[in-house]
Amino acid sequence: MPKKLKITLGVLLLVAGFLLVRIGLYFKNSATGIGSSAVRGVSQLSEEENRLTADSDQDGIADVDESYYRTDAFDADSDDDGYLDGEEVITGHLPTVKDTGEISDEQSLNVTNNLTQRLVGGIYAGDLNPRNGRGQKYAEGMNYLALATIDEALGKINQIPKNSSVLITNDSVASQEEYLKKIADILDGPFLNAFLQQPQTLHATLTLAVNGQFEEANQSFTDYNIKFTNAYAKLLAIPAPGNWIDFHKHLLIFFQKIATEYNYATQWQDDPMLALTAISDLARSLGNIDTSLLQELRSLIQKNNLKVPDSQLFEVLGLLNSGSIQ
Amino acid sequence: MAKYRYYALAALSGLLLGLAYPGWGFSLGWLAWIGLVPLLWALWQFTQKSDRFCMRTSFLIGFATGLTYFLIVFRWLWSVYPLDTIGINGRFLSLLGVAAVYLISSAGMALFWGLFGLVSNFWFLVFSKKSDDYKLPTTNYQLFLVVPALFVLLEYLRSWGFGFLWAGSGSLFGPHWTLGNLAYALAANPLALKLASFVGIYGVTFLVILVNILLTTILVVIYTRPYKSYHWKIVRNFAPVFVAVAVITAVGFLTKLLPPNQETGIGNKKINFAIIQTAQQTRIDPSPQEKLAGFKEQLELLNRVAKEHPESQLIVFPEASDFFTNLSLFLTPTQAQDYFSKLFKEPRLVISGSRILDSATGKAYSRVFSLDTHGDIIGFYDKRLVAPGGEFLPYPLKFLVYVFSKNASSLFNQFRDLRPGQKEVSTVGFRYQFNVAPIICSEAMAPGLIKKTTQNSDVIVSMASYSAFHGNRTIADQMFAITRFRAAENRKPIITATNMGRSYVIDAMGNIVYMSGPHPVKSEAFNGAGILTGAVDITRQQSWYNKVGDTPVLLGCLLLAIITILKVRVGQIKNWLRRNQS
Repeated sequence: MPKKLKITLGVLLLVAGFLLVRIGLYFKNSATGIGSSAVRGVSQLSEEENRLTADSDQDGIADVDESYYRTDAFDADSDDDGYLDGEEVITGHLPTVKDTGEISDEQSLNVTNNLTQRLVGGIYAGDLNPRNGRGQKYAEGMNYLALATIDEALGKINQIPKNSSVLITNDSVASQEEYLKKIADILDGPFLNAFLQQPQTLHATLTLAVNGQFEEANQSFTDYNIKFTNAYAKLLAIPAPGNWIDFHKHLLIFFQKIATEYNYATQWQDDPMLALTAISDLARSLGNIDTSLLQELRSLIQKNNLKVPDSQLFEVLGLLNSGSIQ
Repeated sequence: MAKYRYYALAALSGLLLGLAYPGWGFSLGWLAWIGLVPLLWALWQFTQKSDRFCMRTSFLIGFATGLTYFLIVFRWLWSVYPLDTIGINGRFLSLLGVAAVYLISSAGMALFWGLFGLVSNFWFLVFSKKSDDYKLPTTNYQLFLVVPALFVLLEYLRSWGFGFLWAGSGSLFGPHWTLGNLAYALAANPLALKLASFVGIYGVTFLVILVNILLTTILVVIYTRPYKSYHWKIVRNFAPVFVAVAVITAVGFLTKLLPPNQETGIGNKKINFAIIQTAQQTRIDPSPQEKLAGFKEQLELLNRVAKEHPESQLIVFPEASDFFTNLSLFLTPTQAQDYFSKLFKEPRLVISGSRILDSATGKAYSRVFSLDTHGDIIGFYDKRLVAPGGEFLPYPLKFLVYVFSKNASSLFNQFRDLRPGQKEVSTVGFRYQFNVAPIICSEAMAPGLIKKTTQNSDVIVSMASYSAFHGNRTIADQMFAITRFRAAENRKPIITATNMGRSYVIDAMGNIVYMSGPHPVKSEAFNGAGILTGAVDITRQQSWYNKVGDTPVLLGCLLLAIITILKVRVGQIKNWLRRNQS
């Protein structure tokens, strides 16, 4: 066989092999719909849930906490009012009492619909005419509309109901240490996750969305919504010593805000403008987490000279509190 | 001689030089003095047999040596597999990526050695007594000098070549990538280290090749036995042998007799240092618990330094340790100041690095912060020489990854991708006590960068992390040899803090003064995480190399090559005239 022919055949064989591999990979990806470790990370989330955070009915309240709220651990909507139990807890409603008005009113506010209506109204009224004032008025009008929409969405996102039902216990050292023991799991788990991991997780989820893997992205938002709602509900069931009330409330608000933002982020199909604003606000919240919570925790432990539970986070706080060593 | 024998000899050269190059856990550096002899012998034999300038074969002979050598030198690339630690998913893609980088890097670098084979063939022919076309009124002395000079010039071009081969968004073009330079094989050689403080690695390379060519000449003279046919030329033909023997003996004696480099005039001032060596596995996306465990380890080690070695003036964390970033999550700036002032009564300089995302530009940098414990952050430096493959994806690799899966590199882009810093000098002054020049990992390969940044420094601080190599120590050993040369060249001690490897301190002469690990030097034995403390002499004196760099050696080599080329041309004209006259 001539040398040239051999080379040509060799090259053709390589190209054919490459195409075969490429086609195989394409079908593999299409069949599983899974292409990157970010997705694997999301799917692993449920595997990481331990017994304490198991949530059989996926309503945002862990099975072990369902009894506290007197809700059904296997019914996501115990009072059959159309709202998940966790959703009701986080918005300050009783999950065992049917809600009819308030939540429905809140839900009816669709930021995207409002924007559409304003746009259509503006166009019909002639206010949004690109020819007006050489386009300047049009640009101004669009800016105002955008600002109004963002304002409306942020108003809805930040409308966090103040929950006054915090359980209080006495200030004794024993009950403070007991309180620390009870919150240690939450601090080491979801809190640390939000504190150290969430900015990257959000980025990975958004990458999925950008790459067109909307279902996986939405599943990730839903998982984290459940996770943080769970943490919130769990924390709400823990009685706080009197001198820890402020810290306790701050921690509750911290979880409530992140859970709410994740909740709105899942609504990209019903209200995309609201979901986008929630994601943007979430990125801001996660990127600038107020470290005062940890500092508050550190100072309360130091001030009351408390024995901390066996937990990595408390060990780090202890090392930072170790004071003068020389 | 059959053609395959030339290639076999060339491959033998590559093998010997590969064995001479550091990274084996034992030193066979002396092989560098003889390693190139089989290649030069093969080239000479080929020239004699063919008696013509054959570009293809001579190039391939040189290329065979280079390919063998660089396949051995770059073997650590396989330890990076699988690539999920750097954010490239998929075993097959990992395998393909590593294989491609390994083969392309080795072949790419071998091209320069191929060129060396080609030019050597030309010069052997020029100086050959058998060639009528190039019969010159000259002696072999020039050959001794022009061959090493050409090798040095090609090595210099190769240090540029690696950057061009793996060009990408993070590239910093320049003569930076000196990995594989034969001088590094002599990191334990006092003569080489001494010489490096004057002429740098290229001067040492020149000497290595000179010795190799002299040895080859001895072989050639013995083989051709000129005294049998040309009695009157005995003296002339044996002159190179006498020179060769003299030079080799001198080098041998100096190497053997020279004591470990010691310098009078330094040691008046010392810095007490503490290296915080960590053992944290790099993951592309570590869990919060892993991050916290890493931070806890760092805090414990820092507390140990404060408690057991409060005299430490300079405390260094390894590359990308994120210590200050983590600290800022837990403490406000005021609380951090309070924390440090409680920890250390006297002001101390703490150096640590992090991956920082510049929100204005959206670009990430590997940034080193220097903190005065009784003040504030007093300086920062962004890594300039970011590593292709590890810290940015070069265009060829990006294309390969994209062809297989357009999402495969998204994690890499998110968590690893870096841009080179703009600031040329990293030196930070600490309370008029000492000046420190931090450098980061692969930057130690760049003699020019280090020379520039250490102009006004007393000590160099190098930060490294070898967690991506899954426990393989080859590259760490190679970097150790390279670091010794940087210290010797600039006459500055280097303190190296390492994650997942051994930390060490090298004095201004290139000698190891402290080293961690199971067989430590002036330290307690420890594996993994621990602290390495001690005192190192500092000096403000600049070495000759630190003042002038590589320019004189490179210019000298260039001049030598040009002068010889001109002489060849003049000789050719004379020959032509002679022929025409007759």
